[in-house]
Amino acid sequence: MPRLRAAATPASAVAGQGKFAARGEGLQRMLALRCPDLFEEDSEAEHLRRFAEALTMVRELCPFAEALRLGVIVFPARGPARFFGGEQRVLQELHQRLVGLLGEESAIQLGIADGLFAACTAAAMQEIVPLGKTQAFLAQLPVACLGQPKLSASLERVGIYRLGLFARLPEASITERFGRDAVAAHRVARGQSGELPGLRDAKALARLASLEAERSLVSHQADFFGGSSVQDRRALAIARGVQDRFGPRSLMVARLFAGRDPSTRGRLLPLASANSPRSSGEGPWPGSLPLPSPARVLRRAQAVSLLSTEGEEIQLDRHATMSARPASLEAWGRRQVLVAWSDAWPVEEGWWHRSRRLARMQLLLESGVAVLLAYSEGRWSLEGIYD
Amino acid sequence: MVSASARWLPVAEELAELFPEGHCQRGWTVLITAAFGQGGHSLAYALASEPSRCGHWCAVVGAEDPGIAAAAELGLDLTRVVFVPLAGESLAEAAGSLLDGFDMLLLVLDRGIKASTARRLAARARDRRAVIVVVGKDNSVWPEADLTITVKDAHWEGLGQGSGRLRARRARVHSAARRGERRPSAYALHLPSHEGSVGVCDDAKT
Repeated sequence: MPRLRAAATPASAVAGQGKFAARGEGLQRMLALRCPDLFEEDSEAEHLRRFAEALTMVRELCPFAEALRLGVIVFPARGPARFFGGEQRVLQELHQRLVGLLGEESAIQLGIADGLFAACTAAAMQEIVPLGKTQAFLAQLPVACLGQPKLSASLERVGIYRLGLFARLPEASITERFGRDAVAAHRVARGQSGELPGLRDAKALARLASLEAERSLVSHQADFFGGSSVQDRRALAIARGVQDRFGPRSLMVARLFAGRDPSTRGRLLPLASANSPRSSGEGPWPGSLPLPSPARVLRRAQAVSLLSTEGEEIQLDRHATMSARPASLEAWGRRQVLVAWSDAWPVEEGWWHRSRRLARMQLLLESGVAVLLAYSEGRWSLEGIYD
Repeated sequence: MVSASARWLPVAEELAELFPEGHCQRGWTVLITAAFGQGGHSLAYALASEPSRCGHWCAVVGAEDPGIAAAAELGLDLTRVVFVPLAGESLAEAAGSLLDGFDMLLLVLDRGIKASTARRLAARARDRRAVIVVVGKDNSVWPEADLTITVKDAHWEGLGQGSGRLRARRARVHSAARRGERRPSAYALHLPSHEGSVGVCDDAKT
Protein backbone atom coordinates (compact mmCIF):
# COMPACT_ATOMS: atom_id res chain seq x y z
CA MET A 1 0.00 0.00 0.00
CA PRO A 2 1.23 3.49 -0.71
CA ARG A 3 2.23 5.43 2.33
CA LEU A 4 -0.16 8.29 1.86
CA ARG A 5 -0.76 11.07 4.23
CA ALA A 6 -4.49 11.04 4.83
CA ALA A 7 -6.55 13.48 2.85
CA ALA A 8 -8.50 15.87 5.03
CA THR A 9 -11.78 14.67 3.54
CA PRO A 10 -12.85 11.09 2.91
CA ALA A 11 -12.15 9.83 -0.57
CA SER A 12 -15.82 9.54 -1.51
CA ALA A 13 -16.46 13.13 -0.52
CA VAL A 14 -13.52 14.24 -2.59
CA ALA A 15 -14.86 12.46 -5.62
CA GLY A 16 -18.26 14.03 -5.02
CA GLN A 17 -16.77 17.49 -5.06
CA GLY A 18 -15.16 16.95 -8.41
CA LYS A 19 -17.73 18.88 -10.37
CA PHE A 20 -17.31 21.95 -8.19
CA ALA A 21 -13.57 21.88 -8.60
CA ALA A 22 -13.84 22.33 -12.31
CA ARG A 23 -15.71 25.59 -11.94
CA GLY A 24 -13.22 27.24 -9.63
CA GLU A 25 -9.99 28.98 -10.43
CA GLY A 26 -9.37 26.68 -13.32
CA LEU A 27 -6.30 24.59 -12.64
CA GLN A 28 -7.02 21.01 -13.43
CA ARG A 29 -6.92 18.35 -10.75
CA MET A 30 -3.87 16.33 -11.65
CA LEU A 31 -2.41 13.04 -10.53
CA ALA A 32 1.36 12.70 -10.71
CA LEU A 33 3.32 9.51 -10.46
CA ARG A 34 7.07 9.34 -9.86
CA CYS A 35 9.37 6.34 -10.15
CA PRO A 36 12.68 7.69 -8.81
CA ASP A 37 14.49 4.46 -9.78
CA LEU A 38 13.84 5.31 -13.43
CA PHE A 39 14.87 9.00 -13.34
CA GLU A 40 18.30 8.37 -14.78
CA GLU A 41 18.99 6.70 -18.08
CA ASP A 42 21.24 3.67 -18.04
CA SER A 43 23.53 2.57 -20.84
CA GLU A 44 21.32 -0.35 -21.91
CA ALA A 45 18.21 1.86 -22.05
CA GLU A 46 16.60 -0.59 -19.65
CA HIS A 47 15.09 2.24 -17.58
CA LEU A 48 13.68 3.82 -20.72
CA ARG A 49 12.05 0.53 -21.70
CA ARG A 50 10.62 -0.11 -18.25
CA PHE A 51 9.30 3.42 -18.09
CA ALA A 52 7.69 3.04 -21.52
CA GLU A 53 5.96 -0.10 -20.23
CA ALA A 54 4.76 1.77 -17.16
CA LEU A 55 3.42 4.56 -19.39
CA THR A 56 1.54 2.07 -21.54
CA MET A 57 0.07 0.49 -18.43
CA VAL A 58 -0.99 3.85 -16.98
CA ARG A 59 -2.61 4.80 -20.28
CA GLU A 60 -4.85 1.77 -19.95
CA LEU A 61 -6.08 3.42 -16.79
CA CYS A 62 -6.22 6.89 -18.26
CA PRO A 63 -5.66 7.43 -21.99
CA PHE A 64 -4.62 11.04 -21.35
CA ALA A 65 -1.57 10.05 -19.30
CA GLU A 66 1.60 11.84 -20.43
CA ALA A 67 5.22 11.51 -19.50
CA LEU A 68 6.87 14.73 -18.28
CA ARG A 69 10.34 13.29 -18.12
CA LEU A 70 11.86 9.92 -17.46
CA GLY A 71 10.15 8.47 -14.40
CA VAL A 72 7.33 11.02 -14.14
CA ILE A 73 3.80 10.55 -15.50
CA VAL A 74 0.81 12.85 -15.04
CA PHE A 75 -2.85 12.74 -15.92
CA PRO A 76 -6.08 14.53 -15.03
CA ALA A 77 -7.47 12.89 -11.92
CA ARG A 78 -11.17 13.62 -12.20
CA GLY A 79 -12.23 10.98 -14.71
CA PRO A 80 -10.39 8.08 -13.10
CA ALA A 81 -11.49 9.25 -9.63
CA ARG A 82 -15.10 9.08 -10.71
CA PHE A 83 -14.57 5.72 -12.31
CA PHE A 84 -12.83 4.09 -9.36
CA GLY A 85 -14.89 5.81 -6.68
CA GLY A 86 -12.51 8.38 -5.28
CA GLU A 87 -9.00 9.72 -5.61
CA GLN A 88 -7.62 7.46 -2.91
CA ARG A 89 -8.91 4.45 -4.80
CA VAL A 90 -7.24 5.55 -8.01
CA LEU A 91 -3.94 5.79 -6.20
CA GLN A 92 -4.42 2.36 -4.66
CA GLU A 93 -5.30 0.83 -8.02
CA LEU A 94 -2.38 2.53 -9.71
CA HIS A 95 0.05 1.55 -6.98
CA GLN A 96 -1.03 -2.07 -7.15
CA ARG A 97 -0.58 -2.22 -10.91
CA LEU A 98 2.78 -0.49 -10.81
CA VAL A 99 4.09 -2.85 -8.17
CA GLY A 100 2.95 -5.70 -10.37
CA LEU A 101 4.87 -4.25 -13.29
CA LEU A 102 7.98 -2.81 -11.67
CA GLY A 103 8.34 -5.09 -8.64
CA GLU A 104 7.89 -4.73 -4.86
CA GLU A 105 11.28 -3.09 -4.35
CA SER A 106 10.63 -0.19 -6.75
CA ALA A 107 10.00 3.19 -5.22
CA ILE A 108 6.65 4.53 -6.40
CA GLN A 109 5.45 7.99 -5.38
CA LEU A 110 1.95 9.23 -6.07
CA GLY A 111 0.19 12.49 -5.38
CA ILE A 112 -2.76 14.62 -6.43
CA ALA A 113 -3.21 18.39 -6.42
CA ASP A 114 -4.51 21.21 -8.64
CA GLY A 115 -2.15 22.01 -11.49
CA LEU A 116 0.90 20.30 -12.85
CA PHE A 117 3.56 21.74 -10.57
CA ALA A 118 1.61 21.19 -7.37
CA ALA A 119 0.75 17.62 -8.40
CA CYS A 120 4.39 16.76 -9.07
CA THR A 121 5.43 18.23 -5.75
CA ALA A 122 2.58 16.44 -3.98
CA ALA A 123 3.76 13.17 -5.52
CA ALA A 124 7.29 13.72 -4.24
CA MET A 125 5.74 14.21 -0.79
CA GLN A 126 3.26 11.34 -1.36
CA GLU A 127 0.29 13.46 -0.56
CA ILE A 128 -3.24 14.05 -1.78
CA VAL A 129 -3.76 17.76 -1.44
CA PRO A 130 -7.47 18.17 -0.67
CA LEU A 131 -9.64 20.12 -3.04
CA GLY A 132 -9.34 23.85 -2.53
CA LYS A 133 -6.17 23.48 -0.47
CA THR A 134 -3.59 23.63 -3.22
CA GLN A 135 -2.90 27.31 -2.62
CA ALA A 136 -2.15 26.64 1.03
CA PHE A 137 -0.06 23.64 0.08
CA LEU A 138 2.02 25.72 -2.32
CA ALA A 139 2.40 28.58 0.15
CA GLN A 140 4.36 26.49 2.66
CA LEU A 141 6.79 25.10 0.09
CA PRO A 142 10.37 26.39 0.17
CA VAL A 143 11.28 28.46 -2.90
CA ALA A 144 13.95 25.87 -3.75
CA CYS A 145 11.06 23.60 -4.85
CA LEU A 146 10.81 25.68 -8.02
CA GLY A 147 13.98 24.01 -9.20
CA GLN A 148 15.50 27.34 -10.26
CA PRO A 149 18.58 27.81 -8.09
CA LYS A 150 19.36 31.34 -9.25
CA LEU A 151 15.85 32.56 -8.63
CA SER A 152 15.57 30.92 -5.23
CA ALA A 153 18.93 32.38 -4.23
CA SER A 154 17.74 35.88 -5.16
CA LEU A 155 14.48 35.35 -3.31
CA GLU A 156 16.20 34.09 -0.21
CA ARG A 157 18.54 37.07 -0.25
CA VAL A 158 15.54 39.33 0.26
CA GLY A 159 14.06 37.09 2.94
CA ILE A 160 11.55 35.21 0.80
CA TYR A 161 11.88 31.58 1.79
CA ARG A 162 8.41 30.25 1.00
CA LEU A 163 6.25 30.34 -2.11
CA GLY A 164 3.47 31.99 -0.12
CA LEU A 165 5.49 35.13 0.39
CA PHE A 166 6.72 35.06 -3.20
CA ALA A 167 3.11 34.81 -4.38
CA ARG A 168 2.22 37.99 -2.49
CA LEU A 169 4.71 40.11 -4.43
CA PRO A 170 2.91 42.30 -6.97
CA GLU A 171 3.05 40.78 -10.43
CA ALA A 172 4.21 44.01 -12.04
CA SER A 173 7.42 44.08 -10.04
CA ILE A 174 8.54 40.53 -10.80
CA THR A 175 10.27 41.00 -14.13
CA GLU A 176 12.07 44.08 -12.93
CA ARG A 177 13.27 42.55 -9.69
CA PHE A 178 13.97 38.95 -10.67
CA GLY A 179 14.07 38.82 -14.46
CA ARG A 180 11.65 37.57 -17.08
CA ASP A 181 12.17 33.94 -16.16
CA ALA A 182 10.71 34.56 -12.73
CA VAL A 183 7.28 35.39 -14.17
CA ALA A 184 6.35 31.76 -14.83
CA ALA A 185 7.49 30.78 -11.34
CA HIS A 186 5.44 33.61 -9.85
CA ARG A 187 2.34 32.48 -11.70
CA VAL A 188 2.89 28.97 -10.37
CA ALA A 189 3.34 30.28 -6.83
CA ARG A 190 0.07 32.18 -7.16
CA GLY A 191 -1.72 29.09 -8.37
CA GLN A 192 -2.49 30.60 -11.76
CA SER A 193 -0.46 28.15 -13.79
CA GLY A 194 0.95 24.70 -13.36
CA GLU A 195 3.55 24.99 -16.08
CA LEU A 196 7.11 25.67 -15.13
CA PRO A 197 10.15 25.52 -17.41
CA GLY A 198 12.16 22.51 -16.39
CA LEU A 199 9.20 20.31 -15.48
CA ARG A 200 9.51 18.62 -18.83
CA ASP A 201 12.60 17.03 -20.26
CA ALA A 202 12.22 17.34 -24.02
CA LYS A 203 15.27 15.23 -24.84
CA ALA A 204 14.18 12.29 -22.72
CA LEU A 205 10.67 12.57 -24.17
CA ALA A 206 12.06 12.47 -27.69
CA ARG A 207 13.92 9.25 -26.89
CA LEU A 208 10.77 7.85 -25.35
CA ALA A 209 8.77 8.81 -28.44
CA SER A 210 11.21 7.08 -30.74
CA LEU A 211 11.08 3.97 -28.57
CA GLU A 212 7.28 4.06 -28.72
CA ALA A 213 7.41 4.49 -32.49
CA GLU A 214 9.61 1.44 -32.72
CA ARG A 215 7.21 -0.58 -30.64
CA SER A 216 4.19 0.58 -32.60
CA LEU A 217 5.96 -0.39 -35.77
CA VAL A 218 5.36 -4.05 -35.18
CA SER A 219 1.63 -3.46 -35.07
CA HIS A 220 1.90 -0.99 -37.90
CA GLN A 221 3.17 -3.23 -40.64
CA ALA A 222 0.07 -4.68 -40.00
CA ASP A 223 -2.00 -2.26 -41.95
CA PHE A 224 0.74 -2.41 -44.36
CA PHE A 225 1.11 -5.07 -46.96
CA GLY A 226 -1.80 -6.59 -45.12
CA GLY A 227 -3.28 -7.82 -48.36
CA SER A 228 -2.17 -11.02 -49.90
CA SER A 229 -2.75 -10.60 -53.59
CA VAL A 230 0.06 -11.35 -56.02
CA GLN A 231 0.65 -7.59 -56.40
CA ASP A 232 0.86 -7.09 -52.63
CA ARG A 233 3.39 -9.84 -52.19
CA ARG A 234 5.40 -8.56 -55.11
CA ALA A 235 5.44 -4.98 -53.78
CA LEU A 236 6.53 -6.23 -50.37
CA ALA A 237 9.34 -8.31 -51.85
CA ILE A 238 10.63 -5.34 -53.85
CA ALA A 239 10.38 -3.02 -50.86
CA ARG A 240 12.42 -5.44 -48.79
CA GLY A 241 14.93 -5.71 -51.61
CA VAL A 242 15.43 -1.92 -51.59
CA GLN A 243 15.86 -2.02 -47.84
CA ASP A 244 18.44 -4.81 -48.07
CA ARG A 245 20.36 -2.84 -50.64
CA PHE A 246 20.21 0.67 -49.14
CA GLY A 247 19.59 0.12 -45.43
CA PRO A 248 16.54 0.01 -43.16
CA ARG A 249 15.85 3.76 -43.35
CA SER A 250 15.80 3.77 -47.14
CA LEU A 251 12.31 2.36 -47.20
CA MET A 252 9.84 3.90 -44.85
CA VAL A 253 6.15 3.64 -44.24
CA ALA A 254 4.10 6.53 -42.94
CA ARG A 255 1.74 6.67 -40.07
CA LEU A 256 -0.40 9.36 -38.52
CA PHE A 257 -0.26 9.73 -34.78
CA ALA A 258 -2.36 11.81 -32.47
CA GLY A 259 -0.54 15.05 -31.84
CA ARG A 260 -0.39 18.73 -32.47
CA ASP A 261 3.01 18.87 -33.95
CA PRO A 262 3.44 18.41 -37.71
CA SER A 263 6.64 16.46 -37.23
CA THR A 264 5.26 14.06 -34.66
CA ARG A 265 1.79 13.81 -36.19
CA GLY A 266 3.01 12.22 -39.37
CA ARG A 267 5.94 9.93 -38.88
CA LEU A 268 8.04 7.77 -41.13
CA LEU A 269 9.05 4.39 -39.80
CA PRO A 270 11.33 1.87 -41.44
CA LEU A 271 9.47 -1.03 -42.91
CA ALA A 272 10.31 -4.07 -40.82
CA SER A 273 9.56 -7.69 -41.32
CA ALA A 274 6.41 -8.39 -39.31
CA ASN A 275 3.24 -8.68 -41.28
CA SER A 276 -0.30 -9.23 -40.09
CA PRO A 277 -3.53 -7.38 -40.88
CA ARG A 278 -4.78 -4.64 -38.62
CA SER A 279 -6.84 -1.56 -39.30
CA SER A 280 -5.32 1.88 -39.08
CA GLY A 281 -7.01 5.14 -38.31
CA GLU A 282 -6.43 8.06 -36.03
CA GLY A 283 -8.92 10.76 -35.35
CA PRO A 284 -8.07 14.44 -35.48
CA TRP A 285 -6.41 15.78 -32.37
CA PRO A 286 -8.04 18.76 -30.70
CA GLY A 287 -5.92 21.87 -30.97
CA SER A 288 -3.75 20.45 -33.69
CA LEU A 289 -2.35 22.59 -36.44
CA PRO A 290 -5.08 24.10 -38.58
CA LEU A 291 -5.72 22.54 -41.98
CA PRO A 292 -4.22 22.43 -44.49
CA SER A 293 -1.00 20.88 -43.23
CA PRO A 294 2.37 21.74 -44.76
CA ALA A 295 3.25 19.43 -47.67
CA ARG A 296 6.88 19.47 -46.60
CA VAL A 297 7.87 18.97 -42.98
CA LEU A 298 11.55 19.41 -42.27
CA ARG A 299 13.12 16.44 -40.54
CA ARG A 300 15.72 18.72 -39.03
CA ALA A 301 14.41 22.12 -38.12
CA GLN A 302 16.35 24.83 -39.93
CA ALA A 303 17.34 27.96 -38.01
CA VAL A 304 15.93 31.16 -39.53
CA SER A 305 15.65 34.81 -38.47
CA LEU A 306 12.38 36.67 -38.28
CA LEU A 307 13.14 40.37 -38.45
CA SER A 308 11.36 43.63 -37.80
CA THR A 309 11.44 46.62 -40.17
CA GLU A 310 14.53 47.78 -38.30
CA GLY A 311 16.19 44.43 -38.93
CA GLU A 312 15.94 43.32 -35.33
CA GLU A 313 15.13 39.75 -34.42
CA ILE A 314 11.52 39.34 -33.27
CA GLN A 315 11.15 37.86 -29.79
CA LEU A 316 8.06 36.45 -28.12
CA ASP A 317 7.13 36.97 -24.52
CA ARG A 318 5.44 34.36 -22.39
CA HIS A 319 2.07 35.18 -23.84
CA ALA A 320 3.45 34.75 -27.34
CA THR A 321 3.20 38.46 -28.05
CA MET A 322 5.70 39.68 -30.60
CA SER A 323 8.30 42.27 -29.65
CA ALA A 324 7.74 44.15 -32.92
CA ARG A 325 5.87 43.95 -36.19
CA PRO A 326 7.56 41.31 -38.37
CA ALA A 327 8.77 42.47 -41.77
CA SER A 328 11.12 39.92 -43.27
CA LEU A 329 12.47 36.41 -42.98
CA GLU A 330 16.06 35.36 -43.41
CA ALA A 331 16.18 31.81 -44.71
CA TRP A 332 17.97 29.87 -47.43
CA GLY A 333 20.71 32.46 -47.28
CA ARG A 334 18.60 35.45 -48.27
CA ARG A 335 16.17 37.90 -46.82
CA GLN A 336 12.58 37.92 -48.05
CA VAL A 337 9.86 40.45 -47.34
CA LEU A 338 6.71 39.17 -45.65
CA VAL A 339 3.41 39.68 -47.43
CA ALA A 340 1.28 38.26 -44.63
CA TRP A 341 1.67 36.52 -41.29
CA SER A 342 -0.46 34.97 -38.61
CA ASP A 343 -0.24 35.87 -34.96
CA ALA A 344 2.09 33.61 -33.01
CA TRP A 345 -0.02 30.99 -31.32
CA PRO A 346 1.31 29.41 -28.15
CA VAL A 347 1.43 25.67 -28.05
CA GLU A 348 2.99 25.28 -24.66
CA GLU A 349 -0.20 25.89 -22.76
CA GLY A 350 -1.88 22.71 -21.73
CA TRP A 351 -0.10 20.19 -19.59
CA TRP A 352 -0.38 17.47 -22.20
CA HIS A 353 2.07 18.96 -24.59
CA ARG A 354 5.26 16.93 -24.83
CA SER A 355 7.70 19.36 -26.23
CA ARG A 356 8.77 22.67 -24.80
CA ARG A 357 8.16 24.44 -28.05
CA LEU A 358 6.58 27.75 -27.30
CA ALA A 359 4.77 29.03 -30.32
CA ARG A 360 4.09 28.61 -34.02
CA MET A 361 3.45 31.08 -36.78
CA GLN A 362 2.55 31.02 -40.46
CA LEU A 363 4.22 33.37 -42.92
CA LEU A 364 3.62 34.22 -46.53
CA LEU A 365 6.73 35.44 -48.31
CA GLU A 366 6.88 37.79 -51.26
CA SER A 367 7.91 34.86 -53.46
CA GLY A 368 4.46 33.37 -52.78
CA VAL A 369 5.92 30.63 -50.59
CA ALA A 370 4.09 29.96 -47.33
CA VAL A 371 6.02 28.52 -44.40
CA LEU A 372 5.47 27.36 -40.86
CA LEU A 373 7.84 28.64 -38.18
CA ALA A 374 8.37 27.39 -34.67
CA TYR A 375 9.66 29.54 -31.83
CA SER A 376 11.45 27.80 -29.03
CA GLU A 377 13.85 29.02 -26.39
CA GLY A 378 14.29 32.38 -28.03
CA ARG A 379 14.96 31.09 -31.53
CA TRP A 380 12.96 30.71 -34.72
CA SER A 381 13.17 27.69 -36.91
CA LEU A 382 11.60 26.63 -40.16
CA GLU A 383 9.36 23.65 -39.55
CA GLY A 384 7.36 23.23 -42.72
CA ILE A 385 6.78 24.51 -46.23
CA TYR A 386 3.29 24.66 -47.68
CA ASP A 387 4.51 23.32 -50.99
CA MET B 1 -9.48 -7.15 -75.02
CA VAL B 2 -7.38 -5.45 -72.34
CA SER B 3 -9.21 -4.44 -69.16
CA ALA B 4 -9.36 -0.75 -68.27
CA SER B 5 -7.12 -1.05 -65.22
CA ALA B 6 -4.45 -2.70 -67.32
CA ARG B 7 -4.26 0.44 -69.46
CA TRP B 8 -4.98 3.26 -67.01
CA LEU B 9 -4.47 4.33 -63.48
CA PRO B 10 -7.43 6.20 -62.00
CA VAL B 11 -7.22 9.96 -61.48
CA ALA B 12 -9.23 12.05 -59.03
CA GLU B 13 -12.17 13.80 -60.68
CA GLU B 14 -10.68 17.23 -59.95
CA LEU B 15 -7.54 16.35 -61.89
CA ALA B 16 -9.09 14.35 -64.73
CA GLU B 17 -9.16 17.41 -67.01
CA LEU B 18 -5.41 17.43 -67.02
CA PHE B 19 -5.24 14.05 -68.72
CA PRO B 20 -6.24 13.17 -72.24
CA GLU B 21 -9.25 10.86 -71.84
CA GLY B 22 -9.40 11.61 -68.12
CA HIS B 23 -7.14 8.80 -66.94
CA CYS B 24 -3.45 8.41 -66.43
CA GLN B 25 -2.09 6.10 -69.07
CA ARG B 26 0.10 3.30 -67.75
CA GLY B 27 3.64 3.47 -68.99
CA TRP B 28 3.65 7.26 -69.01
CA THR B 29 6.01 9.69 -67.42
CA VAL B 30 4.23 12.79 -66.12
CA LEU B 31 6.28 15.84 -65.24
CA ILE B 32 4.91 18.34 -62.71
CA THR B 33 6.77 21.63 -62.80
CA ALA B 34 6.34 24.29 -60.14
CA ALA B 35 8.60 26.92 -58.65
CA PHE B 36 9.92 26.21 -55.15
CA GLY B 37 7.10 25.98 -52.64
CA GLN B 38 4.34 26.67 -55.18
CA GLY B 39 2.32 23.49 -54.93
CA GLY B 40 4.31 20.87 -56.82
CA HIS B 41 4.36 18.53 -53.86
CA SER B 42 0.67 18.97 -53.16
CA LEU B 43 -0.25 18.22 -56.74
CA ALA B 44 1.93 15.10 -56.77
CA TYR B 45 0.29 13.71 -53.63
CA ALA B 46 -3.13 14.56 -55.04
CA LEU B 47 -2.26 12.67 -58.23
CA ALA B 48 -1.27 9.57 -56.28
CA SER B 49 -4.33 9.67 -54.05
CA GLU B 50 -6.81 7.98 -56.36
CA PRO B 51 -4.50 5.12 -57.38
CA SER B 52 -3.55 4.46 -53.74
CA ARG B 53 -7.21 4.44 -52.72
CA CYS B 54 -7.97 1.95 -55.44
CA GLY B 55 -5.35 -0.36 -54.03
CA HIS B 56 -2.44 0.47 -56.32
CA TRP B 57 1.00 0.57 -54.80
CA CYS B 58 2.75 3.94 -54.83
CA ALA B 59 6.26 4.98 -53.84
CA VAL B 60 7.46 8.50 -53.05
CA VAL B 61 11.11 8.54 -54.03
CA GLY B 62 13.56 11.32 -53.25
CA ALA B 63 11.43 13.47 -50.93
CA GLU B 64 13.59 14.33 -47.94
CA ASP B 65 10.87 16.03 -45.98
CA PRO B 66 7.44 14.72 -46.95
CA GLY B 67 4.48 16.21 -45.09
CA ILE B 68 2.70 13.04 -44.08
CA ALA B 69 -0.36 14.75 -42.66
CA ALA B 70 -0.73 16.90 -45.79
CA ALA B 71 -0.38 13.84 -48.04
CA ALA B 72 -3.16 12.15 -46.11
CA GLU B 73 -5.35 15.28 -46.32
CA LEU B 74 -4.80 15.30 -50.07
CA GLY B 75 -6.27 11.83 -50.18
CA LEU B 76 -3.27 9.52 -50.16
CA ASP B 77 -3.97 6.13 -48.59
CA LEU B 78 -0.86 5.81 -46.43
CA THR B 79 -1.20 2.07 -46.18
CA ARG B 80 -0.43 1.80 -49.89
CA VAL B 81 2.54 4.14 -50.03
CA VAL B 82 6.20 3.73 -49.21
CA PHE B 83 8.68 6.58 -48.85
CA VAL B 84 12.19 6.18 -50.20
CA PRO B 85 14.31 9.16 -49.09
CA LEU B 86 17.33 8.49 -51.30
CA ALA B 87 19.20 10.84 -53.62
CA GLY B 88 21.49 10.73 -56.64
CA GLU B 89 22.61 7.36 -58.00
CA SER B 90 20.87 5.45 -55.20
CA LEU B 91 17.61 7.17 -56.04
CA ALA B 92 17.80 6.08 -59.65
CA GLU B 93 18.73 2.54 -58.73
CA ALA B 94 15.96 2.20 -56.15
CA ALA B 95 13.43 3.74 -58.55
CA GLY B 96 14.42 1.17 -61.17
CA SER B 97 13.74 -1.67 -58.75
CA LEU B 98 10.48 -0.22 -57.50
CA LEU B 99 9.08 0.02 -61.02
CA ASP B 100 8.96 -3.78 -61.05
CA GLY B 101 6.17 -3.92 -58.51
CA PHE B 102 4.79 -0.45 -57.79
CA ASP B 103 2.15 1.12 -60.04
CA MET B 104 3.05 4.75 -59.45
CA LEU B 105 6.34 6.35 -58.54
CA LEU B 106 6.51 9.97 -57.40
CA LEU B 107 10.04 11.12 -58.09
CA VAL B 108 10.80 14.30 -56.20
CA LEU B 109 13.85 15.86 -57.81
CA ASP B 110 15.62 18.83 -56.32
CA ARG B 111 18.12 18.72 -59.11
CA GLY B 112 17.94 17.32 -62.59
CA ILE B 113 18.73 13.73 -63.27
CA LYS B 114 21.15 12.52 -65.96
CA ALA B 115 19.30 12.36 -69.27
CA SER B 116 20.47 8.79 -69.87
CA THR B 117 19.19 7.70 -66.44
CA ALA B 118 15.87 9.43 -67.02
CA ARG B 119 15.42 7.68 -70.38
CA ARG B 120 16.28 4.32 -68.85
CA LEU B 121 13.71 4.81 -66.08
CA ALA B 122 11.06 6.04 -68.51
CA ALA B 123 11.65 3.00 -70.72
CA ARG B 124 11.35 0.72 -67.75
CA ALA B 125 8.07 2.36 -66.70
CA ARG B 126 6.71 1.78 -70.21
CA ASP B 127 7.87 -1.79 -70.08
CA ARG B 128 6.37 -2.44 -66.62
CA ARG B 129 3.22 -0.43 -67.37
CA ALA B 130 3.84 1.75 -64.32
CA VAL B 131 3.56 5.54 -64.11
CA ILE B 132 6.36 7.89 -63.10
CA VAL B 133 5.33 11.29 -61.79
CA VAL B 134 8.34 13.61 -61.63
CA VAL B 135 8.18 16.73 -59.47
CA GLY B 136 10.70 19.43 -60.29
CA LYS B 137 11.17 23.15 -60.65
CA ASP B 138 11.10 23.24 -64.46
CA ASN B 139 11.50 21.23 -67.67
CA SER B 140 15.22 20.84 -67.12
CA VAL B 141 14.84 18.17 -64.44
CA TRP B 142 13.51 15.56 -66.86
CA PRO B 143 14.23 15.35 -70.58
CA GLU B 144 11.07 14.05 -72.25
CA ALA B 145 7.82 13.54 -70.39
CA ASP B 146 4.64 12.21 -71.98
CA LEU B 147 2.63 14.83 -70.18
CA THR B 148 3.81 18.05 -68.57
CA ILE B 149 1.66 19.72 -65.91
CA THR B 150 2.69 23.21 -64.89
CA VAL B 151 1.55 24.89 -61.68
CA LYS B 152 1.56 28.68 -61.86
CA ASP B 153 0.19 31.84 -60.29
CA ALA B 154 -0.25 30.20 -56.90
CA HIS B 155 -1.58 32.44 -54.19
CA TRP B 156 -2.71 31.79 -50.67
CA GLU B 157 -5.94 32.95 -49.12
CA GLY B 158 -6.79 33.51 -45.49
CA LEU B 159 -3.65 35.05 -44.07
CA GLY B 160 -3.60 38.73 -43.17
CA GLN B 161 -0.99 40.92 -41.53
CA GLY B 162 -0.93 39.52 -38.05
CA SER B 163 -4.25 37.77 -38.41
CA GLY B 164 -5.94 34.77 -39.97
CA ARG B 165 -4.50 31.44 -41.02
CA LEU B 166 -3.51 29.92 -44.33
CA ARG B 167 -6.83 28.63 -45.61
CA ALA B 168 -6.49 27.60 -49.21
CA ARG B 169 -4.25 28.15 -52.19
CA ARG B 170 -5.46 28.95 -55.67
CA ALA B 171 -3.20 27.91 -58.48
CA ARG B 172 -3.45 27.63 -62.24
CA VAL B 173 -2.62 24.24 -63.66
CA HIS B 174 -1.81 23.73 -67.29
CA SER B 175 -1.14 20.44 -69.03
CA ALA B 176 0.34 19.59 -72.38
CA ALA B 177 0.91 16.16 -73.87
CA ARG B 178 4.18 15.58 -75.67
CA ARG B 179 2.73 14.17 -78.82
CA GLY B 180 0.10 16.84 -79.02
CA GLU B 181 -2.68 14.27 -78.83
CA ARG B 182 -4.98 16.87 -77.50
CA ARG B 183 -5.14 20.60 -77.07
CA PRO B 184 -3.61 21.81 -73.85
CA SER B 185 -5.88 22.22 -70.86
CA ALA B 186 -5.71 24.90 -68.20
CA TYR B 187 -7.84 25.71 -65.18
CA ALA B 188 -7.68 26.90 -61.59
CA LEU B 189 -7.44 24.52 -58.66
CA HIS B 190 -7.56 24.83 -54.93
CA LEU B 191 -4.29 23.18 -54.09
CA PRO B 192 -5.13 22.53 -51.33
CA SER B 193 -8.60 23.70 -50.33
CA HIS B 194 -9.40 24.74 -46.76
CA GLU B 195 -10.01 21.07 -45.97
CA GLY B 196 -6.57 20.11 -47.16
CA SER B 197 -7.85 18.33 -50.25
CA VAL B 198 -7.73 19.37 -53.88
CA GLY B 199 -10.71 21.11 -55.48
CA VAL B 200 -11.65 22.82 -58.72
CA CYS B 201 -12.26 26.55 -58.28
CA ASP B 202 -15.81 27.54 -59.20
CA ASP B 203 -14.75 30.03 -61.81
CA ALA B 204 -12.13 27.61 -62.96
CA LYS B 205 -12.47 27.24 -66.70
CA THR B 206 -10.61 29.64 -68.93
